[in-house]
Amino acid sequence: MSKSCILDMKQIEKRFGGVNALRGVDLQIFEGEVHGIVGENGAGKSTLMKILGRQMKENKGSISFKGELINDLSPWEVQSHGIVTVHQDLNIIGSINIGQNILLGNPPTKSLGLLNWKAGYPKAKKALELVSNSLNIEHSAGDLSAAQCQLVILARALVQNPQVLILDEPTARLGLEETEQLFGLLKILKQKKVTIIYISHRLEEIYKVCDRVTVLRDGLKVLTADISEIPKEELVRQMIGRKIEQLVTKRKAEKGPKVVEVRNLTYGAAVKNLSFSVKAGELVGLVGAVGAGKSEVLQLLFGAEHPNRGEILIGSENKFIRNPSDALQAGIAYVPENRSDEGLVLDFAVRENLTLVSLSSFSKLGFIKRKKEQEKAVELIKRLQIKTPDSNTSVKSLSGGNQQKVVLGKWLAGVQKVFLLDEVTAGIDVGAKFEIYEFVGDLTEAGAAIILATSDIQEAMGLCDRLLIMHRGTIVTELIPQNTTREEVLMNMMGGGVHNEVQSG
Amino acid sequence: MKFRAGDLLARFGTVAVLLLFIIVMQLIFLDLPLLSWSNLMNIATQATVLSLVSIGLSIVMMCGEIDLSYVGSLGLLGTVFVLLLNFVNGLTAALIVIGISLIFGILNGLFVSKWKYSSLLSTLSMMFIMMGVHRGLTNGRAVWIDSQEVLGIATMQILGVPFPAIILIISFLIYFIIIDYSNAGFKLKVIGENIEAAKEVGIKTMRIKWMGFIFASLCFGIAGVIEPLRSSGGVIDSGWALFVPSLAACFLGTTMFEPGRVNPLGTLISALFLSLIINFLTQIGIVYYFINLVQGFLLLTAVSLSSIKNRSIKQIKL
Repeated sequence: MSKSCILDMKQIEKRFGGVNALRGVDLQIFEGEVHGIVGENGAGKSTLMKILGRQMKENKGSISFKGELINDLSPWEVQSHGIVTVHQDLNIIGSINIGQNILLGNPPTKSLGLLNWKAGYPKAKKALELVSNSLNIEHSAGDLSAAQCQLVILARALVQNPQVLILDEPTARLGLEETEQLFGLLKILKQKKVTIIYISHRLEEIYKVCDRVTVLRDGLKVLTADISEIPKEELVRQMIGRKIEQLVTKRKAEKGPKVVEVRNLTYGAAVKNLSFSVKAGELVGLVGAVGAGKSEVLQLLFGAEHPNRGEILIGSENKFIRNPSDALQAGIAYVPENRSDEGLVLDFAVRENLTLVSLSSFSKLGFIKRKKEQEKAVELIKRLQIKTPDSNTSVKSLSGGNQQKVVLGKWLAGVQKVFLLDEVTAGIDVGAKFEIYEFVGDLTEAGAAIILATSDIQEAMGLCDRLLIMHRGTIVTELIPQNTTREEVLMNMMGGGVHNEVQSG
Repeated sequence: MKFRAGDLLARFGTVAVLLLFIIVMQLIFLDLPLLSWSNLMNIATQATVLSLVSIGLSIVMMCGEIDLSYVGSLGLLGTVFVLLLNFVNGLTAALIVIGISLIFGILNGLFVSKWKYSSLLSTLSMMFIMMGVHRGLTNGRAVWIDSQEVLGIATMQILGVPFPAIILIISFLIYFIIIDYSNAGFKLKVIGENIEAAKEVGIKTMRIKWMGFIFASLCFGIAGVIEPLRSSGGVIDSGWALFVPSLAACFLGTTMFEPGRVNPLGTLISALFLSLIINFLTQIGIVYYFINLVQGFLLLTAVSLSSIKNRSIKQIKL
């Protein structure tokens, strides 16, 4: 193939604080190809694309588009060059109609800067028809479903006449039919010589639409290959990389009684008819890609969201959880995915964060007993090995790993029996990761029931007693770490089950 | 477009209540000429400054910020206008004053959109700085317009409509067209509703916000010229009197026409209505000292109405 290189990224490096998100990535994209980018969570896919779209500045490296350096361009200049990104966030303006949302960046204008929507509608209509048969441009955008929002955003990208179209998990919110239509659209775009960069967690899609694929792992490019030359199993192996030993071995064999039981839990399209149970002293992994519905399950268990259908039974008394306050009383601890927004009061001291949940046990008549609170905080800091100058340091000055320990620690000040942990080690350095693992192991030994939602297979395999693999809101299978392989887990996470035949060549 | 009953109520409910309120007031106080042409024109003149200021404030609120600097600048600009009349003619003085106000707008935009300061705090600081300058300039005294010729402009009528009201009508039309029919106005509203979406599609958010602040200051500048014409001089703290009513006008405006959003027509109608109420209260003899009390309640009512109604409006949830 004698194709010309339209985008050339060289030695891209990006650091966030002390963490190296990208460590010298080279990426060449050919004109007119569909280029898949795959990798586990935290491999650096999104960071690389944000750098390409100029929403982020690299620390090192160069990017050229058709032989011209574009490092110094602003996000909108890159867009006007024809490099358009479809992000995962669904930024739709609800107060205007669909057509206006499609033309958002460049509203049609006549003289004196006055709007002339009518002039733009044919263009918007054409773009919308490419992605959907059912939507009407004059319909209000206020009551669109997530899938419909995704389609409108796709149409918004199309009216910008992209030369390079970057799609970040475009099918995560789409149904089967809409996904098929998207694939049809990709074919049309390809005929028009549009270059497409396609990021997906779904392996079958990569094989269906891509010409070439690049694998990223831990901020490094592992390989770029023609899709016809790399079998599915090999791709998965490259994504995972080296074999890693078991993380935690000590575990009580004896499990206690059932603590959590979920029956037929359904929540919109995110969680479909889920049933499972967890025993005291058991560590169950809820494993799936981003958007598989793991976080929603935990939120439902914590009472932060309300299911459409199904039952959640906690403890022996079968307590009914209506809201987080019920959950707290039932002894449920929840560590959300987004620790800085939901798990911590960043400006508060370590001590204050640690005792936040259990404050009433240090209070008398509404006054906090400082000494008792201080003692508890110091004890927790020691127990969790939180690296902080002292208990009065504000949490925001700690590293990510230590912040996460504070989030965990605040639940230990009380007496919790059930722990819901959502991506508890995401974005944390290796050292802190292992300390958290150890600590989670200790909790189960003490008889706690733990549900660990994670997309990190290594973590799931190393820690959990059982793995519930989630894909698109359902549990597709249950695996026991000792009896399975990382490849099998990843395959199931990506909806590619072991029995699916892969067409290659 | 399709209208449902609930939709109609959300859009025009507040307007209907306001009209009803005015009619009831007139029926209770039959002997006062509240709704006579001459009183309405009187109100129109009085309402001009409040409406102009509310328009300016509403633009900044539309892009998700706030600008309180007019509370200080209005008095300062009025006094500068009166002082300038000693040296130049009325039109030149007016243009200079509007020019000064534009500079204030550029400064506000610099702080808020370029340097990302909190708009509440930075424009509050500007407000006090300008009040300080104003007091220093006049030693806290009011200055009066001597020229009968200039004062004549305020009472001049064209087809029975007072001159200030005509300025208001023209200003409003331009503002209305910019907000609802221009490219820049559309982008301004997009920024106010979802700044991430605006950035994602390549809208130059900093520039548009900055333009919003400058346009607001243009309105404040025009108001700064009309105010001394109306009251025959530059009075210390003339901005204070508009502080609460202008905020109330913007919030009350969100309960009509485009529920949940600051919008041009809603802001204007609310500003006119509030002027009417203030006029009523003066005419039926509510003591001046109670005006703060009344204004406080008006603002609270406006904010309550807007939050009650906006809560029932469906927000996009993903």
